[in-house]
Amino acid sequence: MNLREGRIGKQEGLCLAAISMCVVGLFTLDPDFTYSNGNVSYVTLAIAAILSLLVFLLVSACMKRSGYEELSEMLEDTCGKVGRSVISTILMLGFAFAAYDPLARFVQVMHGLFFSGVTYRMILVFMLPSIIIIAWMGLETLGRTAKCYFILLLVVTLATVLAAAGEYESYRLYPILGCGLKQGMQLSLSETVAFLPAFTALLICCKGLNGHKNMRNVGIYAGLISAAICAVIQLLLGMVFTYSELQKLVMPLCRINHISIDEGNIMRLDKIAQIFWMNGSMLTGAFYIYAGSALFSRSFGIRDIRPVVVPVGLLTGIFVLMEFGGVLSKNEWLSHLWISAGGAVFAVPLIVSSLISLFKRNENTEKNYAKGV
Amino acid sequence: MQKASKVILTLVLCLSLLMPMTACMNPISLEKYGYVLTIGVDEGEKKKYEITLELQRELAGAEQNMGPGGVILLSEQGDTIFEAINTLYRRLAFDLSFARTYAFVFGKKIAESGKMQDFFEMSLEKLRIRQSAILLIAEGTAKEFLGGRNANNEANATRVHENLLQSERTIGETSIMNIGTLFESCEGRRFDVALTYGAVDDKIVTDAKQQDIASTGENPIEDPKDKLGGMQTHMDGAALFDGWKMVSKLSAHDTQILNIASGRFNSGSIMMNIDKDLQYVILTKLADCRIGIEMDDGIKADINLTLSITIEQDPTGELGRTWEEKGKKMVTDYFESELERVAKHCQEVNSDAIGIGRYVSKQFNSVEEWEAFCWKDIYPEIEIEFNAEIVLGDIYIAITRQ
Repeated sequence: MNLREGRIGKQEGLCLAAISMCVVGLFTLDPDFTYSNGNVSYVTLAIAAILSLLVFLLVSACMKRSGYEELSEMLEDTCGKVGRSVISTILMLGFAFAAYDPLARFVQVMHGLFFSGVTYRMILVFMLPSIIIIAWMGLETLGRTAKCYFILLLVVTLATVLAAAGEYESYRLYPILGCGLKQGMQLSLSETVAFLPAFTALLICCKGLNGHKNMRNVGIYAGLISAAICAVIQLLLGMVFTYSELQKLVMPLCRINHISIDEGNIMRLDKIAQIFWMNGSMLTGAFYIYAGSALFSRSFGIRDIRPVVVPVGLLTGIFVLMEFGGVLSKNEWLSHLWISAGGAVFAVPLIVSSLISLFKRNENTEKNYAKGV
Repeated sequence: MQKASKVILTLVLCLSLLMPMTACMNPISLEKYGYVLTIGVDEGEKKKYEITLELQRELAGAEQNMGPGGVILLSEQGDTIFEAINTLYRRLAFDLSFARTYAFVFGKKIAESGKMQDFFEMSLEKLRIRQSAILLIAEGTAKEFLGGRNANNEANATRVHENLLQSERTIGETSIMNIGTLFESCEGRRFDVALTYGAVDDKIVTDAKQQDIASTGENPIEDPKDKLGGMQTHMDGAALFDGWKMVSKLSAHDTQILNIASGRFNSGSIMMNIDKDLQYVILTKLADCRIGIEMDDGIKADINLTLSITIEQDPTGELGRTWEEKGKKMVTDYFESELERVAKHCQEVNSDAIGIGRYVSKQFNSVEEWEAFCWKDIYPEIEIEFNAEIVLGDIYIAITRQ
C-alpha cells in the first residue's frame, strides 16, 4: 500500500502533534461559548488536554495489549469490517471538520487584517492547494516540516507575548474561576476537541511513528507540552482582555499587541507572527487531512492514499466555503454541536473500540485457556 | 577549507542581517498614500458626524511648505466615518491609509452626548486602525483643535504625539488612554476613563507666524499681550467619563491628583498653594499605590500611597527646615485632602476614574454575583480613604538650598 507514511522519529511526531494541538487550542475556541461566564480557559484547556491524553493512553494500551499495529486493525477486530468502515467514515469527516476549523478562522483573520479587498474564496484558493500538497506528500514531509517549524512558532509566540509585557494586569482574571465547577467541567469536555483529533491521528500513524512505544511517548510529551503552552497563553490573554472583551474577539492572540500605547517596532511585527501561525494552521489541516485519508484508505482497502487526500482536502475547503457562504451560520446547530460535543466524534469510537478489545482479549484468553493452548 | 567556509558563511549571515537596516524599498509609497495620523470627530450640521482627518502627506516638492513633519487637514460630513471617507475620495488624487492612525479627537459636545459609542460601532479593523490609538477630547470642536495644533507647521506631528506621551510620564497633567482601554471600561464596567482634554488658544502667535511676519520686515510681535511661540493648542487636564459619556472636566492640577490616586502617576511637579501668596513646588514621585477593599459593613476603599518628594520651591524656607516637626504633616495633610477632594468629585459625577471597581471585582467568586452587583450603582455611596506616606528625598538639600 502506498500510504506515504515513511518513518518519523519522536521529535518530528512530537512537533507535529504539539503544533496541531496548540493551533486549535489557541485559535479556534468559540469566543462566545468559551468566555460567556468568565475566563477559565487556562484551566479547562489543561484539563481537556489531560482527559484527551487519558483516552489516548487507554487506546494505546489496548492496541499494544492486543498486538494491533495501527488503529484500523483494532477497529476491524472489535467492530467488524462494516463497523470499521462506518467508524472510519465518521472519523474521516471528523478530521475534515477539525481541519476546517483553524483554516476558516485564519482565512477570516487574513481577510480582516490583510486582504479585505478580496473575497474569502480568493484567500482560500491560495491556502487550500498548499495544504493538499503537504498532505499528499505524506507523514514524513509533515513530520519534518513540523520539526523545522515548531521552534519558530514557539519563538514567535514568545516574542508576541513578551512584547505585550506592559499590559498584563491580574484584575482582569477576576472573578477567578467564576463560572463554577459544573460549567468548568462542561467546558473541559467540549475543549477536548482541540486535542483528540491530534491524538487520534497519532494512533492512526502508529506504524509511521515506529511502533507503540514511540507513539505513546510522542502522545504523552505532545499532550503535556500543549497543555502547558495553551494554559500559559490563555492565562496571559486573560490578563490582557477581560472575559467580556474576549467574548467578542476572534483569535485574541492576534490582537494582543494592538492595545499598547507605547508602540514600538516589535509591536508592529504582529502581522509576521500571524503569517507564522497561519502556516501552523495549514500544517495542522494537512496533518488531519492525511490522518483521515490514511484511516479511510486502510479501511476501504484503497491501496494509494493520494486519490483520497484530494477529496478529503476539497471536503475541508467545502466546509470553509459553507461557513463563508452562510450555510453553516444558517444551521447554527451544526457548529454548536461541534463546539460542544466535537470531541465525542473521536472519543466515543475510540473508547468503545478499546473496551470491546479488552473484553475480546479476555474471551480469547479464556477460550485458549479452556483449550489448553 | 572548513574554516574558510565558516568565515564566508558568517559574512553572508552578517550581510543578511544588515539588509533590514537599509532604507525603504518602496519610496513611492509615501506619494501614493495619504497617511491619516489623527481622526477628528464632531457633530455634523447636515449629517451625523463631521470628520476631520489630519494627514501626513509628503508631496513631491512640497516639503518647503509643510516642513519635514508637515500635515494637511481634510474634512467631510457623513452619517458614518465610511460615508465621510467615501465622499472625501471624490476630491482626492491619492489613497488614504489608516495604518498609522494614532489618535482620535472628539469634540466636547459629541463626548458629552454619549455618541462616541455609536461612532465606535464601526469596524476599526476595516480601516486597519489599531486599538492602541489614543483618545483626546477637544474643548470646542475637534476641527478647531486640529487646526490650532497645525497652525504651527514646523511642529512635527510624530513629535507632538511623542511629546504627549512623554508629558504624561514626566508631568502627569494628562491622562493618556487608548481605544482598547475605553472598550474595556465600557464593556467590563470595572472603571471609567479619564481622557486628555485639549483646548485651543488662537491668540498665540506661533513660531511659523512669527517667521512669516518677520520675513515681511515687520515686528513679529504685533500685540505685546499675545502669548508667543509653540502651537495654538494646549493640554488642559482630563475629561471624566461615566461609561461612554463625558460627565466632567478636571484641571491639570486635579488630573495630577487623579493620576496619583489611580496609581498611574509617574512623576511631576505639584503646585502646593497654601494661600494666595504662598506656593510651594514639590517634585513628586509615586513610589507605591495599594488599594484595599473592605466589604463587611458597606464598601470601604483604603488607598495607601507612598510619595517620594523633592522640594523644588520653598519661598519661606520653612517647609525644609521644619520638615520633621511641621513640614511633613503639612504636605501629608495637603495630599490627603486634595486626593479626597478629587475622589469626592469623581463620585459625585459617577465616574470611577480611580479604578476602584477593578479591586472590588476581586472580592467576588462568581461572574454571576459580580454582574448582579451593579458596581456603578453602588460606587457613588462608597467610602474612600486615603493614607499618604511622604518620604523626603534629600533632607539636606531641603534644609540648605533655600
